[in-house]
Amino acid sequence: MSYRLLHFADLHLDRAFAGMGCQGELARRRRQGLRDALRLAGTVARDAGCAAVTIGGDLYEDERADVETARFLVETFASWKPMRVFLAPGNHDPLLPGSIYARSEWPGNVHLFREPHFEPVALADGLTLWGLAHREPAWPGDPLDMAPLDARDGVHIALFHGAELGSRPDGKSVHGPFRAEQIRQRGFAAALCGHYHRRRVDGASGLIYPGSPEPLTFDETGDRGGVIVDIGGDGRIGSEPLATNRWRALTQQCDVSGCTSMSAVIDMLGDTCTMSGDGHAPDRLMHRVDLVGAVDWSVPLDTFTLETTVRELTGTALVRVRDMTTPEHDIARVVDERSTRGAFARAALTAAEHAADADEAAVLRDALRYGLAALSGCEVGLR
Amino acid sequence: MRLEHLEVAGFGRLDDANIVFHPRVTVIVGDNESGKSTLQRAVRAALYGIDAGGQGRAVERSDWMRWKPWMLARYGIALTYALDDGRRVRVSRRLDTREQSTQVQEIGGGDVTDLLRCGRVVVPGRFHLGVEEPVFCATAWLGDDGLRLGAPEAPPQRAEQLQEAMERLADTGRGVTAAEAIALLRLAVERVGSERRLGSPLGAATTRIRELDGRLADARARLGAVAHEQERLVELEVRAQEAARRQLASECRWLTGRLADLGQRRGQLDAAFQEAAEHAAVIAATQPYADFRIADEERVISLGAQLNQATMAAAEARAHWEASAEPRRAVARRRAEIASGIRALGDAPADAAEMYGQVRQLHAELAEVAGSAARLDTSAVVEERRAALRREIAATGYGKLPAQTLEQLGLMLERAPRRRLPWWVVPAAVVPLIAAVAGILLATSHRLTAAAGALVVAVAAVMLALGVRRALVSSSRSRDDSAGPAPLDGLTRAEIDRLGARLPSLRALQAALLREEALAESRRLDAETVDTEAAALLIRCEELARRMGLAVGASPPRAHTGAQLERSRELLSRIDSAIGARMRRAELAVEDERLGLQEAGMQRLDDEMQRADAAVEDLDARLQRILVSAGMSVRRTPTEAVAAFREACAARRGHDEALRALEQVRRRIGAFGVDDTAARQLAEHYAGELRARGGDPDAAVTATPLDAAALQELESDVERARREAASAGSEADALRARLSALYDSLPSVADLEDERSACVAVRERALSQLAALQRSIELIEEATRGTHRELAPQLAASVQRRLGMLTDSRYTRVNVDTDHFEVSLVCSDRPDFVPLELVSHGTRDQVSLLLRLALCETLSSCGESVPLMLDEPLLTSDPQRRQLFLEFLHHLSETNQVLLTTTDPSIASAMQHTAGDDCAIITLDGEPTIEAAGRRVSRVRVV
Repeated sequence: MSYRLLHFADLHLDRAFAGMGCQGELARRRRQGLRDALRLAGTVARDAGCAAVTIGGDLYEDERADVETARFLVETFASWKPMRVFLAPGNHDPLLPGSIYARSEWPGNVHLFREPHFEPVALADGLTLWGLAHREPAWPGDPLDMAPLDARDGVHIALFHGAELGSRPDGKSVHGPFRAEQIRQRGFAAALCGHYHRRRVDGASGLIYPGSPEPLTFDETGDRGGVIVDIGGDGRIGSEPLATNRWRALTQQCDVSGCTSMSAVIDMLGDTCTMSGDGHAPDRLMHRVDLVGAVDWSVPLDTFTLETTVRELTGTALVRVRDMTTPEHDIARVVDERSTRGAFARAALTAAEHAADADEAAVLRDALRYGLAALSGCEVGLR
Repeated sequence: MRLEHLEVAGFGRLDDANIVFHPRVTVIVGDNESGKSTLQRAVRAALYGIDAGGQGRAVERSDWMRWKPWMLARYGIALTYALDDGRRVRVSRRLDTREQSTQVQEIGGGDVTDLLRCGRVVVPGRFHLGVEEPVFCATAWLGDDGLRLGAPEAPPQRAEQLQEAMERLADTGRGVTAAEAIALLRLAVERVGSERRLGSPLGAATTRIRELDGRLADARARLGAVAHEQERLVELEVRAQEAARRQLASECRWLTGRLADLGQRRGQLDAAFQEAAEHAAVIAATQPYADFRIADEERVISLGAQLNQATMAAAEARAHWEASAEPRRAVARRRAEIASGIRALGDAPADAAEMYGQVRQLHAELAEVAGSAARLDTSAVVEERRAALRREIAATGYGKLPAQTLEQLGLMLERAPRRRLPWWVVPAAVVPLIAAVAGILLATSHRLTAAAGALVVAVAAVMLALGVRRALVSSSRSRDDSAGPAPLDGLTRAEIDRLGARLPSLRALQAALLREEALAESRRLDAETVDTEAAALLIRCEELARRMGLAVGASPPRAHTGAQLERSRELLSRIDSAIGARMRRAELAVEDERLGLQEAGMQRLDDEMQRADAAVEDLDARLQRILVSAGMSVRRTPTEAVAAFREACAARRGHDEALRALEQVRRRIGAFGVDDTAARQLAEHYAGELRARGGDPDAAVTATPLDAAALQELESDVERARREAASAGSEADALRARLSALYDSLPSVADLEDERSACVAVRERALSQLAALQRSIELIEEATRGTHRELAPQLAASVQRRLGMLTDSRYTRVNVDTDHFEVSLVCSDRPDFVPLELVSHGTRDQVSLLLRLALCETLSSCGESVPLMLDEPLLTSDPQRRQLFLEFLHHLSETNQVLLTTTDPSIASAMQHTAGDDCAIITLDGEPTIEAAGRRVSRVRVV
């Protein structure tokens, strides 16, 4: 018995890309890109001879998905027949009463897991898929809190949305916590999971996080896509990660030390974007560039202008600039001045040190920067 | 900045002069109009250029015109100086034309002319010293009447520029002033804008957010309405699907029913066709009999039956006749015997039969009477019982007592202690009587007599019981009347008592005896009755015997009943015998008669046989005629003929039946309404329709057909469901169309939220920038206030420190108004501040000079050191103060180069004496220029 399926998760249809700085037409293109990714998954699965497609949660974002999303999903899944589709709702797409999952009439090849505990579905003789659903946006339950399965009953595969505690990224929410070592202990040959957007295929524990098929933040770089999973009759699991993403996110640093004008900064920034984006379609490229180095006060670094100009120069879909430069002035020397500038710098630094929170401290640091730029007689570059 | 070298190609009276300045103090000594002020002016012109007039200013009155070389020499200067950072700069100006050609060269570097240009004018002094020319003139460069209050280049007249310069120095050290910085910040604030200013990014973002909020609310409301409509659409679709399913199901059931019905009808049709075919076959087969005379069948059958019967009868008659041959002979023989027997018996009385009856009657009566007599023949037993009772009574010893006495005695005994009559006495008396009566009845079996006897006995029993009771009662009454039992009939009391003890038994015995006696009486009566009957019976027997002709003999006397009965019996026996003979004769006669009849009957057999044969012939002939007329051949036997006729008739009937059946079948076929082909097509159509609807036509064929009512109901269901489906479907279509139209116009919440998020980000970013800018402005303003507050005191302190020294503490306090740069002093003599114009000329000049020194120090403290160029500053100072000043200048020269011009050589000497090697004296000789190396030069001597 050999069974092949395609597993993916965390597609996040209808996601807002404002956090990446995408809006308007670009945001619409990104969201369309997510839909294209879903269609592509079906095509890839069919071409690879998969018998089923498993989706490990966060297929869409419930707060933003609408009726059109529901229609799109129903039509897409129906076009995948006879391939079966298995859905395990996650924390962004929980199985709530008014959700798309609950409201839609799914075609016959779609199986939706509905309970917050594992339920079996036979994939083939001797092969069982166990899936569960999040029924609330912040489910704290342990998906693998269950009695071990009997291996004599065949091969068992788990499908769920959960947070593996041993590899949790910083700041990632904990929904459905579990540990990788529990997978084999519970009798599963593999766990097809979702929630973490970074791909992880651990053959030792059987854990498979396919990652998000398209980059949703600037941290989600590199090749992305689903994972082809081959299940042997002896329970041996083979996996082949795919690189099907059409959008790319890149994060680089650009040292603009020595630049004496905005033009120079723009040129350097443009070169950085061009070189790093080589080989990728610029209209689907999203750059985040951190400007570093020491820049003279006279160079008014306006991030908005930099982003707009470099985007137009390079044809990149999105350029986000973070000004992490330091002024060329020796702040220590300025602080020692007996001038108004020195007094201002001292007052600003003291206030920043005693700021109530990080936001106020950031404001004061910007105030210091703006004030020093103004006291240098330069146009104040807004960050 | 330290001036190094001044080359004057031609400037004023200077012509081709080269001045090398000491790094610290340079004293230029010269007579009036030797060029001291010109030299100083040349330095200023090198640093700041020279105004050549124009734009409303008269060229002729311009400085350029004023300082044109006296001699027709080149008009130009070149100044070399060193900056505090070590750079050395050479400024060369060719002033031949009003446009003035200037070049600034960094020695060891490049041309920096353009970097030091301000507009069209190159002003290295502004950039390198950080002060404008007016400020320079108000501080470091002191002209020939610069100390005069009200001089155009005095600090008060340049207060604004001085203030700006001071602030600039205080704020950023020759950079921008705080106000300028704040202005830049406010420009940035302007760029950011405000939430109210729509044209600004912040205002636009804020306004857009408000718009988007409204659009989002509207979009969500519309989406909510669309979602609601979608739910309704789902409901409608479900309803339509349900209705469609019901319609489909009803249609399937209808189609199934129709198919079953069609199947049945087709089956029926097929059967009908087959039947028709069969009928047709039958018709064809029986066609020869189509016109067969079936009406004669009955006749034929009848004839056949009759013929058979006649034949059978004839055969039977013949058989009988033949069978009767022997009986006939036997009858004949017997009749002959009877005749002889009768003849032998003789005649019989005519009423023999009647006599026989009487005899039977007599026999019966005889038996009855005999029975009665037998039952009554128990007199011996009765008598014996009576004797026994008498003996028992006698045994009591009171046998001789009459019964009445016993009765009285009994009554007496009952009264004394009243003795009740035991309850069993009366029944005991009555029951036996009844039993006796019953026995008599049974024994005699003579109902009437028995009944009469029973009645008599019953009456007697009742009377007996009443008599006994009366006797007992009387006895007890008599007892009661007396004190005790009285002696009766000679009986003693003891005997009476004894008698009383035995009285019950005695009375019982008496009663029994009485009963027996009654019984005996009854029996006697019965016996008399029986005897009478026996006698009567005998008489009748005798009479009958006589009638029979029998000898009777003498009747016995009325003797014993038994004998009479015996006699009767004998007579009856004789009578029986006689009657028997007569009966015999009669019997023979009867037999003979019978035989005669029998014989006659046998003879009738012959007749019957003949009649039967004739009948047979007749019948057969008729039958054959019919057969012939029917076209049939003659048959041998009627059975065959009839069978053949019947067969033919059956064939005819079959033919007719087949015709009728065929007609019926055809009518039935016609009633189906469709022929087989049409039915098959219709069935195929229905099957196709059913298959299309997911049904199984094969199963439908075997399903139970539905009746018309059920089909009608299904059709109604189908119609209802179809209408409902159509209604729901059309409603759903309309709603779907409406929704489809809406979908295109539905706003994208995601897009709106995206844009809102972006606007929020812009707004927050702008607000953050605003906040930072505002904080920056606040902090700068606060820092400025603090810094600027120190300016005046610093200046005042500087002036005050030196003034005190200069005036021997005459003036202890100095106030410098930095707004107007006016100085006021506090004199030790006066408590208030004294304006400068009120003090002495010398002091005023000194204070002004000290102010310039303080300003220079201040200007120099925050940037490039400013060389101090003083033209005749000590004219009004007394020697002491002059010396102090020179010391001040020498001290100042540590940080600021000093260029001092004077006409007084003693000042030069004093300076040299004070400064030593820190000073250089340059004497400007007023002699006409001399030629040196082919050039006219002033005679300059550097000491």
